[in-house]
Amino acid sequence: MANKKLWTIVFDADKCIDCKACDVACKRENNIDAKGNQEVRRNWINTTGVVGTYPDLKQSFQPEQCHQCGNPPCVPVCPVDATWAKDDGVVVVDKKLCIGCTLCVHECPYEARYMTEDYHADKCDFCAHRVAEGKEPACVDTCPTRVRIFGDMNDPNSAVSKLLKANPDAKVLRPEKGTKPNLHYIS
Amino acid sequence: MSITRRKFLKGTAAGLGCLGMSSVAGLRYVSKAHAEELAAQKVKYVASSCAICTNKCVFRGQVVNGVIKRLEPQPEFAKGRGMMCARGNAGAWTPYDPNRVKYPMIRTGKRGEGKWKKATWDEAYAYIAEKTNKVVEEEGGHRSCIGFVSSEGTYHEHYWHQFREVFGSPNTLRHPGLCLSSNIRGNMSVFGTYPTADVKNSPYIILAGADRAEAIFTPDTMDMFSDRSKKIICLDPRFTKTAAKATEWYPIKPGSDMAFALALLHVIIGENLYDKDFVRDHCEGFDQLARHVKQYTPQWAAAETDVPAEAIQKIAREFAKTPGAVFYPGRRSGWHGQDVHARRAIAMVNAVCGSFDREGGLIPNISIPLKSYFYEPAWYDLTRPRLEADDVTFLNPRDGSWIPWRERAIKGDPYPIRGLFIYKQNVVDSVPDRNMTMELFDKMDIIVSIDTFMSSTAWLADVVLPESNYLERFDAPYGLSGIEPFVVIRQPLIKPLYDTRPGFDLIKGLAAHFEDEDGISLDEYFEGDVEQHARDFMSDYPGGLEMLKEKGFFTDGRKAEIGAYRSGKSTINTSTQKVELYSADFESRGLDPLPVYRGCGVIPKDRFRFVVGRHAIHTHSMTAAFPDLNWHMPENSVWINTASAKELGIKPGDMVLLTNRTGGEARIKAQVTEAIRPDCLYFAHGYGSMSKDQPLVFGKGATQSQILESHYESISGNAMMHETIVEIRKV
Amino acid sequence: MIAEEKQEAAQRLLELVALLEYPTLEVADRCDLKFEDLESRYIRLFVNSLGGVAAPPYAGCFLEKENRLEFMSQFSGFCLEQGVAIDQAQPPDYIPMMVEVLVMLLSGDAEPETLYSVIADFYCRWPEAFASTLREHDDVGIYVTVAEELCAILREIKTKNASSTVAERADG
Repeated sequence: MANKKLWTIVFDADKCIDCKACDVACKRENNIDAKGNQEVRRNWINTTGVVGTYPDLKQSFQPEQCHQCGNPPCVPVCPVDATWAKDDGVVVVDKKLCIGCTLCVHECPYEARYMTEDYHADKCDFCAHRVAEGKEPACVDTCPTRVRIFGDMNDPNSAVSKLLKANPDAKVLRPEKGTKPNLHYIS
Repeated sequence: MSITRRKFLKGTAAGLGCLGMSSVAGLRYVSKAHAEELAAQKVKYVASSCAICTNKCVFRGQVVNGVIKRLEPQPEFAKGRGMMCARGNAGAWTPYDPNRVKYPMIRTGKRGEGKWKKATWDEAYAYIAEKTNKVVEEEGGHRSCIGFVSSEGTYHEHYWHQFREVFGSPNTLRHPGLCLSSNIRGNMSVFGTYPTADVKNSPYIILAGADRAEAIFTPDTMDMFSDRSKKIICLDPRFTKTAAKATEWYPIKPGSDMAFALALLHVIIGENLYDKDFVRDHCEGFDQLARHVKQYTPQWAAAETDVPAEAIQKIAREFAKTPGAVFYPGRRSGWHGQDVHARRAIAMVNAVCGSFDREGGLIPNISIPLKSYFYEPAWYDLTRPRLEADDVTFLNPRDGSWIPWRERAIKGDPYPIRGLFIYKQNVVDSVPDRNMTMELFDKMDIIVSIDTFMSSTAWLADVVLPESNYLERFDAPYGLSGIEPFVVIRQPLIKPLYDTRPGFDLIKGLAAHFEDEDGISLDEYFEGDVEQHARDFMSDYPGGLEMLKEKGFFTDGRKAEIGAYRSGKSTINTSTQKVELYSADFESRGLDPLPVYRGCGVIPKDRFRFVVGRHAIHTHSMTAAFPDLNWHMPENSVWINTASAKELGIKPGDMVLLTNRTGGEARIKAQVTEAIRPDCLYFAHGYGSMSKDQPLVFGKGATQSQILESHYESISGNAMMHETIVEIRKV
Repeated sequence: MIAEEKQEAAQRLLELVALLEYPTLEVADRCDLKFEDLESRYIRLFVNSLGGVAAPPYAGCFLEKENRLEFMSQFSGFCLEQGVAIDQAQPPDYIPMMVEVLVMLLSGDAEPETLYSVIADFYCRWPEAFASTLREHDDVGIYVTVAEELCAILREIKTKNASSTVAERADG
């Protein structure tokens, strides 16, 4: 199993300028037309909003997307086995099998899934079609400030492995959920 | 069969040919595919460059089955640091916008009523020529009575200016007079050039109003925020995204940046922190400057700017002591009446600290010289000087100055303007004081708008000529100057949709309907075609055009040589060949030779200063209707400070009316926020389109041109965007 | 569908394409309208108009659930597979052009299965919405009639080829 990958994104969220390039690149790459529906997105930017009282203000931005959990809560709830984690850790949905029951959408602690207009569950798959061609996911390659670093955690020489090694304080979001996420935040 | 069916459906089409044959008679759009079409790749990539803002980022356009899917960033394009922003990504949709201008159209109803007829190109050209020639004749044959408007962007604009020149009008108005003219002039007067900050190598950056996190500019935005070790000092009346990312934010009083810069000079010189070697060897007028800034103490500046005196002192000391620190010159300027001097003062902070021609500092741009496009000039004895020739000290004859020009055009002073030829500038939404623009339009006998989609301006024109979209065009190589210069190109991802034409063909076609005084058709001045020009421009670089076509950009690896001015290898382009802290040139023109602060005005009680700004998902008035971007901001709203809103009884989401001092009004929803000074109001640009053909933004929110008053500063001619005082009330 | 039926359907579809084109004097006569009036109404409906073009003649604009760019790409890919070249000066989902593609298929030796599936894949999810938009905005009447006729013909082709598919299968 020497070649088995574990795809991971390491976020340096402090670099995020909230420019929305990741969202628009994702939508074009994955042929998503939100048609004004604010729930339709595969990645998003969390913000605290402007915090404080003028003139002592702060605002931070934290991009997020599906965590491709090692222990994905969305998978076991699917009554028709339409979603599963691939060998490389990426959790995928087979639209043809999906019956639109929304259980997985509700089960995800990160609200990373959404229902499409034709009513099946959808989510980020790290642009699996691009990764298969040796490219990075669209949200990664488009980012002006290089917030996301994408790579294989099983490869000790990959940029993500090195980054995590250099940043022992890196965190995952909502660790209390026991989801074993594959998104890591070094800031 | 119903009556309506019988009435309408009764055999118009030609009969079908024999069934089963290789082609079918009567089909207009469809035929049997040839072998080579069938063999065409299902997925292809075309290297080209973006046109959604001025940066021209290079991408690899992915086309699937002949339909554009995505514009992937070209990772090797160093100026864009291999990125593609939200706007660039959203551009993939633009050719397919159902509200594009598709054919030449001639207005049949009243202006703005929206009644049109489709025309052939020749009909549209002939209509324009007839109206225009009549006007010129009525004006005694002088062609200055036609105004030419354009925005910067592509090489095609050069052909537009060629047309204007051979047509014979000096009256041209371009984008810089609404943007950075004052900044260019300020820096030119000090450094003899408008340099670029070496952001990548600067550890300490002061930004006065330059919102680089939202006004995305390559490579500065990328370099500024992808390295979080930089210390960033942000001065802005709004808590922008840049402020959120900055180390320190000071909500400075708008218009007082110059006082801040002068106080920095006071501390840096007064405390002997300046770069003595650089000042001695490369600056002119230091002693005068030193005497001049004695009056500008941090305490004085604190009262002017609302930035605490201790902060000013601290920043001055840090700036002077940090190698590679830079006071970022910004780009968009044009805020207040003293803008040129404010830019000079900022330039001088850099100069006295030696932050010029050194790593991290201001670096004079270099470019990759291309062969030029030559054409024969046409001469007209009757041509008059441009309208506002005497209103501006340093008037750039190609850029003009919108505000005084428009005022004179409305009055016919010193001569009437009777027609406007507008090449892709959305005048109605982008030039301050829309009421005045409408007054100008009312005076016109002919308004021609060339655009790719139905802007408010196109909507109010008499003839609309559709240019092909940037993803459908071949645009000649275009040089991007900088510390690391590039040349970029535009290549078609798809064939032009509808009956549209690329700029060169469109303009040459129009020129063919006009003659010079010797009866020579103006199209004879246009030689070759864009492909030929592309080959000519690149002829000094064997393989250059091939690289452009393959990668979308060209470089021969050159970079600005840092230290070249210090070593004497390059010469500073001022009359003294020094960095001019004291400007004898300004003095000889009756201008302050040193930056004298004259205050930024007092805002009357219960009034607000309206400030402008950018948003990362939008470029001016162009992008608000792009669906992928509109999704993020379906409507704009006016920012008002929480405390001010409370005093006025304005709650979040309330509809409010803004009124300026000259009758401009904007109705818009209120966004009550801590993120703006209590004496300022702001809303994002691009909404509230008058064009009902931009459905996503038509009547939604407001556009800045509604509320901005007519102000300009007379040194560079730049429109002043922060001199508007407004009242706000709940409606 | 037998050959005569295919030919008749194709002929009727061609009529519709002609009527969806920029109006002619003859069409204006038929609508009892002055040419200039029909012209400006046509532009309002299909080209550029108040509040956005009222009834964009592009199928993808009427898809409730799908992405127009993807639909165009799929249709264009389908045409390529069928050996049909479409005009590059129109978006692939330009309705008159899509109708002509169908005419081409009806005029060729397409199997009922192919006809059935092409209707199901590309001609089912927008014509009703197009017609209903025109019912709302077309005060001339001709265009809503054209759209309704288009819906009717498409339904007919689908039904007839579905039954022949079923019949053939039963025979087999």
